[in-house]
Amino acid sequence: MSDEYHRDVLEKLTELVRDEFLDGEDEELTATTPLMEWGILKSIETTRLVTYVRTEFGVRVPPAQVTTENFRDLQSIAGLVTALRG
Amino acid sequence: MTALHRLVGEAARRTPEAPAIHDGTTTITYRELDDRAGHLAAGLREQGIGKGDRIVITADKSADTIALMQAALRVGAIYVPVAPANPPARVEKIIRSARPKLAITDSRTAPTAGSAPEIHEPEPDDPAYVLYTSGSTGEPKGVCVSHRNAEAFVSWAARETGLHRGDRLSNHAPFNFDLSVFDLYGAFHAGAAVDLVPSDVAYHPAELTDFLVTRGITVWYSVPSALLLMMRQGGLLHRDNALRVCVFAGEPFPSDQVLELRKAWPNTRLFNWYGPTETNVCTSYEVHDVDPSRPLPIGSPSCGNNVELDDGEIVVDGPTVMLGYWGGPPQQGPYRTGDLGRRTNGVLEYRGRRDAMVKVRGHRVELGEIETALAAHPDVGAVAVVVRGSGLEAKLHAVVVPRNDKRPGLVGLKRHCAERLPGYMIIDSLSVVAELPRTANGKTDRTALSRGIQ
Repeated sequence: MSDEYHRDVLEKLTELVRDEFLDGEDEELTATTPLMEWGILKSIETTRLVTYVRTEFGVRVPPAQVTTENFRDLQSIAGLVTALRG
Repeated sequence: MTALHRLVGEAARRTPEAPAIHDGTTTITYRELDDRAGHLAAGLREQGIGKGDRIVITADKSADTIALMQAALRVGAIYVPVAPANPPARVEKIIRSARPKLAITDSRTAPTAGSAPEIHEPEPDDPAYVLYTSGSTGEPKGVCVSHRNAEAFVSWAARETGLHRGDRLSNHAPFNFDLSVFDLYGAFHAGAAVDLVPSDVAYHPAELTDFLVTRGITVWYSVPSALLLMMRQGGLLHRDNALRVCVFAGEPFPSDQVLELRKAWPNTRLFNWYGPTETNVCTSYEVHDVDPSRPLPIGSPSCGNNVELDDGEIVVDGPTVMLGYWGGPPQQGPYRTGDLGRRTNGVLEYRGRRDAMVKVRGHRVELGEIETALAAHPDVGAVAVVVRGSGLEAKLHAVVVPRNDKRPGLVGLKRHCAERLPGYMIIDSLSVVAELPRTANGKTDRTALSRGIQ
């Protein structure tokens, strides 16, 4: 169940990042692409992503959890969302 | 040193039958060019044209057009070359500014008369020609060049590149672009030949490469855009050629592609020249080894100029600094180029336009620096970075021409930036195009690029 949820979150987050932050390009974008390091997630994009997670998955990410570690790549964000769903 | 307007006459006396100009299937010798210039000078005299009068020449490149430019100098007039490709509205603006006594659109119909008049002897600081460049306000600015300015450049350039009468120089640039001053007067100074690239093939990779190869060009001078086009799409590096010297100027040449050129042509002397029209070439760098991780240096001062950095801005003082803009106050003292430079290991590097310094996400960003970084990516052939939006919405947008068949992607380029630049200089978006828009002089048209995506 959790695995399926995690996959679904990952898929939707990948779509969001690709469509809204990368002009629809997905070449080279993988679950482990370093989003912060490569400037794909900057402060505006991060805020947008946190909002998306709340409306799409009903998961509130506490500001203290918005760290470079948790938002390093899509895999870690999906992991965070899965964990926060509890 | 022979004065600018006497170079053709001198060469005609030394080697009358040597070719002066190749123009398609036509070749004219120094004797023929000298005679033609003499008859045209007589015609101009008959029309009452003399010292200080302007002649606007909007004719196509040809031996006749060159003879007309020589004739203008012989009667003490100032010629104003304007590429016929210019839109009529711009030509009108130039004519309003230059107030010429004569405007010629077809040099075959220029007035001629029987006997050549005595050649006018100018003062070194008399203007020889005016080259109109685009001003940031949209009003063309006429850069007024004296005999002293031109001679200082021509004699330096001829010496630097070792021009001799056996050379065949290409002429790629239109006559209103200062690159053509080297092609024409460098050739006349050495008694060599200049071969005119027809303006309609100036950016056709295959035709241009054929021209360079089959016409036995020994000295090539153009903007990097033209060379890159020949390298990428014309197969330039796979054909034998007679090139002894290859010079480029006018915009940055990505260093990894200069390295390619260096490797393909180990015996050709390569030069990177720098200077706005206002100073002509004021620094020069002869390329030996290339460090592909750094921008190609623009080198050290040329033509007897003194080049300093003032708060990062390149400032030039010396014999090639223009008299001033036509109709404006005379240029006094050093000329501030508006270009940014940096000294690395004793040589200058170009860092981009001062006004290309923009503020994005609160940081001062030098677009040229991002371009240099992106140009080093293996899939990037040519690149321009512009700002999209303004204020808080300002974003960095890269326009990229692929180097080969592989289309560069946004993620890959972001990664490339991230590995070389601070985070705030990572590009936000990308468009991939077949060619960058060019200005009439063949440089990347930044205005069109930033307009195109607003």
